[in-house]
Amino acid sequence: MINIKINNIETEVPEDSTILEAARGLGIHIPTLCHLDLHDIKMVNKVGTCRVCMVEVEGRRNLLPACSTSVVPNMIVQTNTPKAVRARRTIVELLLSNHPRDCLSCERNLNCELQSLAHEMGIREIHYKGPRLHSEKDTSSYSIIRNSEKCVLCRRCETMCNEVQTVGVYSAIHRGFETVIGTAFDTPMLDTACTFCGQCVSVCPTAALTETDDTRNVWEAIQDPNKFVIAQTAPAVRVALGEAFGMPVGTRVTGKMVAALRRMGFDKVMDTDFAADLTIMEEASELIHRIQHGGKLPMLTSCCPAWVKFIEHQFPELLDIPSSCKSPHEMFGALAKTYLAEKLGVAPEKIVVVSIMPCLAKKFEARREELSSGGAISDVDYVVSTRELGRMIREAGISFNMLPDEDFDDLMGESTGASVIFGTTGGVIEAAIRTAAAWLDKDNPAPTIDFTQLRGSEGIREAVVEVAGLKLNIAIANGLGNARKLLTDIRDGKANYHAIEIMACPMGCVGGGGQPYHGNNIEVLKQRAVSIYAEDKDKPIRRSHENPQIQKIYADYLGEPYGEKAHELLHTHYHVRNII
Amino acid sequence: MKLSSWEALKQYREDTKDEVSLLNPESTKIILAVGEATCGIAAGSKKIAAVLQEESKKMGLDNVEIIPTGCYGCCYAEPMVEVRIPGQAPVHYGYVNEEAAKKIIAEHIVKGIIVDKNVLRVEVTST
Amino acid sequence: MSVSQVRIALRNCGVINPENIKDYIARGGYDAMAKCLFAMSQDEVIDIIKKSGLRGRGGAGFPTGIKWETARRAQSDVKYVLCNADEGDPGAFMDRSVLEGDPHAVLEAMAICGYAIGAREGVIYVRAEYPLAVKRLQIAIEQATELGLFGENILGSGFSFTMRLYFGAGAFVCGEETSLMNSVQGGRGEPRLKPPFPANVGLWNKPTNINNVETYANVPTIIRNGADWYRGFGTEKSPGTKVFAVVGKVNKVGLVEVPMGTTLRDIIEGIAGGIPNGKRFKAAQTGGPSGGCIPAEHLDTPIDYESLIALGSMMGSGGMIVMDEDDCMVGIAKFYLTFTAEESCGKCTPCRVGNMRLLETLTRITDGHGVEEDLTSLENLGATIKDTALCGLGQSSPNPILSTLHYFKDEYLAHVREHRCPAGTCQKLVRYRITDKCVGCTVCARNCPVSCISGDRKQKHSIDQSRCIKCGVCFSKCRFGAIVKG
Repeated sequence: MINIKINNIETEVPEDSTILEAARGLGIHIPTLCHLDLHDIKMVNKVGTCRVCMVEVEGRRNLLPACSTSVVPNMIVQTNTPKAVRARRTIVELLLSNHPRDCLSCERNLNCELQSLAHEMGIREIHYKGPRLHSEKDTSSYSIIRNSEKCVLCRRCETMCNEVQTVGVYSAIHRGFETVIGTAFDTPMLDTACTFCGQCVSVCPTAALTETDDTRNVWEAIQDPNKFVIAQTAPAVRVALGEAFGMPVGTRVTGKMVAALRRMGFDKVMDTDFAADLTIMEEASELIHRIQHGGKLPMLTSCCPAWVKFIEHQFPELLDIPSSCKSPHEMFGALAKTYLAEKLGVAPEKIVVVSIMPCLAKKFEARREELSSGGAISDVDYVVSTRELGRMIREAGISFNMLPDEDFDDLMGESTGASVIFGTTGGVIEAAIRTAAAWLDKDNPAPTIDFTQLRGSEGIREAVVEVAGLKLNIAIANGLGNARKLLTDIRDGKANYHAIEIMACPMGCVGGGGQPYHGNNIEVLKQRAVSIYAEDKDKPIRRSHENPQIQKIYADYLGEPYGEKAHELLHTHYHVRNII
Repeated sequence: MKLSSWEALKQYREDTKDEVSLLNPESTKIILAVGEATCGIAAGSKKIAAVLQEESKKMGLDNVEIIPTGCYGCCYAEPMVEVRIPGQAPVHYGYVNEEAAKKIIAEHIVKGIIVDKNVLRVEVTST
Repeated sequence: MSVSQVRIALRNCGVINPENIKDYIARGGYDAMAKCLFAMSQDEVIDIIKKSGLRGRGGAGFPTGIKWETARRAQSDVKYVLCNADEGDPGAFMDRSVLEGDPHAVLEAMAICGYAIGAREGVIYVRAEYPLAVKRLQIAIEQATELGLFGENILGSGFSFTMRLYFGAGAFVCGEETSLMNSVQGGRGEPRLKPPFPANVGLWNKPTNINNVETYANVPTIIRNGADWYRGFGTEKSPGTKVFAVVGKVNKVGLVEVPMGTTLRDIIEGIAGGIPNGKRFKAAQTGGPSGGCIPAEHLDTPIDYESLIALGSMMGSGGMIVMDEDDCMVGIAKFYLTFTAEESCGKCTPCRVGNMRLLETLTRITDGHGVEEDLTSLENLGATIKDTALCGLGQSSPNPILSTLHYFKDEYLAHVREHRCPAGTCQKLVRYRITDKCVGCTVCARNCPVSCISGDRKQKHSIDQSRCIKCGVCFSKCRFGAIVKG
């Protein structure tokens, strides 16, 4: 511990503290912009680029950035001297002088860190005037839009992409005033190794990185009398959507969400959770098949499209280990345009499947050619993120908080607790083990449901699960940097697992790139995960294979799990992709 | 050849003393040091070196060696040539064009008459 | 006036054949290294450098011995010796000349440093735009390695040191030491936060000593002659000599090496032969884009690190650009800002956006659209950029503006109040007038590309200001000095 003095208050702080941390401990607020420290997921952006948090330190000629200056014994800091305040205001004015300032029509209006900063500092006039940087938007990808004109060069996206996710798409390019964060050789995002996980969007303080907006397309489909529009909602959406309407973090809004979608005009409101149960039927069968028939191990889950794209680019030599299962919403789409079309008597080409997802990578995934029947009819037509759904509900004039709880529509609306936990890290593998355990351990009247050893928030977790005398080595990774570690071990023959679950986003889908902004607070994700497990607990049925609608669809339509029909509709293959 | 000790380095210095281009009173070799740093080359010193070579050949001088040196600091006076004749004080010439180069050979080297017009006086305390 | 130069860093430049190691050895070359390896402990080497008072010749003047000592004390199995040869100041060529004229001096010094701090590898970061320096360095490394002066077990001492070159691609900011290290590592040339300093966390995050070319070039001579000898030159706080590249409006453009404490007047009027064409000295710009302009009233200040900073400029790497009455100081400030705004790496806000705003304000002023408030704005923004920028480039980039504003405020005021450029160089403000000296020869009228000069033969001519494009052809064609600008 060392003693320092901030604004004449003496304090004792740990040696590795920054001035910013020490000040916060004293309740002294120092404005920041580029700084971001998400301890739990090891995302630390301590680059000192914005120069907003400048403070005066006795004995130093220049001002120092509080976010990235470590304390030293007997340091005397003043955070609000006229010089520091003037410098801070000047910096923010400079940033604003090079910003479009179209706040009223900006995606991040009222939810923008630059806007908040200007507000907090009471900026009323921008003294430094001059031309702004002009840059073309990159709208090439189906997931993420880059608008460099709104970029403040905080470098959070770069840190997230390069250091946390280890994808390395972004870096600063060009010089001086022309400097922007871009891709190598200014390659359009679509042609890069970007996985579209959207974590860069999650940490972007402004609207420089946003999701591709699909809401117009969805409204048009809903308003088209010739279309039959079906909504399906991912597990993690129901524990986060409430935040968009000011509800406490973790509020479960499943019933209100269904009611809202119905009021928006969707013809059917169904559940991706149903398809998650279906995924377990297929994936658990595939796992047992691989174990019993000497197939390739470990088997990797394939629900996460960002993760799938990651392995296609980064480990093309390992493409035979992921499960061949489509992701749940794609399974849903495939069945909606076959099974449902038949049951409801609607022509498949009239059906529009809209996936409500916590995810931006799903937008890209929906455009994959192999995820369609015969390349003609896409399994899924549109993907909107949790954030976009929040905007659509507002736009429709629906008072979300006052809505009654409603139930999903039949046929593909029923789900189990196993499918709910797909929304958080470890959930997919736990759901698979629940079913596999029940199947393998046929004589056990009460096989285990809660495999708590598979839960948690650490980036990489390992557990041994004993099922019917079989010891299964399980590994779980969330975050692509952690996935890379596991995959490297597998490639180098150092790992000995049966099954591995990988989710691209920190803490899984609750931390998805399409979720309401967590406001730089990782506790938000943890709270959502708590709600996921609570939703699981409250479900009357908690194993996928016990879902009556699942049993019905196999009996009526699909036949055997992992069978021929299932293969045709529910499984896929992967492509080798390059890194430019 | 690798030198294997400090002594070997000193010995090497002694052994190669006749091969160096510095002014050496015991040698009969005349050195013409042409400024061939970027400033000199830009001012045309390569050409001047060639002229010096050619002229000394013409005059049948076989004890003249033309070597490149770096920048003597007088970039304004490039191309520069320093004449090192054993037993005499070295002379710096500046603004050396082809005509001056020919004169340096014909007058200074052959006849021992310094080409006054091109002499450059630079006060330098060397260390 | 006669002022003698003292050549320590340049002692072999223009003397030896830089492509022949025998010349260098004949001048005592590699004896300093051998002396260190066989007769001195690591601490003794550092001690002599500390005692000599040698300070970094790259600009900031940090004591070299203390730098070496910090790197020596850093615990690590791998350390590096880096040489900053990324000379980028406009008008400066000291380092290039040393590398072209005496490459071994730098190499020998780096090996000495490697021995002192416990490093086995040296890296020279040299501009790719210096092909001759690169070639001579390559030859030097090759020849020295062949003689066993680099490589394994040098001269049988047990000490091993290898040397390699790394080429810079022309970014000015890579002269900043941490950007340089990022560049060597294959990354973008962007500064790192300091602390940690390179002596602890440097190249590849290993302890690294980095000095510039001229600093190293002093080292072998200091080792050979001792600290006291070195302290015999220069001043108490800035011992030794400094090399300047004196360019601009002087009769003798070139390199000079003088003891610290020599006055600007001695350099400019003495060694460099004064201002050509009988013009009046106006200012000397030192320190490149980080420095400032020093006016005539301070010509007699003895130059060292501290005195130049007190004058609002800095030593920098040794560029000295001399300006006369025809140079517009607002234009000079704009020239430097154009340079830094372009060369900013864009990492921090004040340098990326602030310098651009400064440049725009200056451009307004030189275009005749400036107002008096612009001068306050320049001062305030300049001060904030200095206080807040991340690296040395940004922290010093407003200096050319602030120093000219300080010493030449009248010129700025003429630009903003009267929209007039007293030196007559701001093209948009310049006005050509024909005076009574005109004899009506018609040369100007016949040469004017826009035919805006009229007048009868043998009668005084006049210029139609509304059509004049200020090309200056009339001014240069007039044989009677009848056309004036201003």
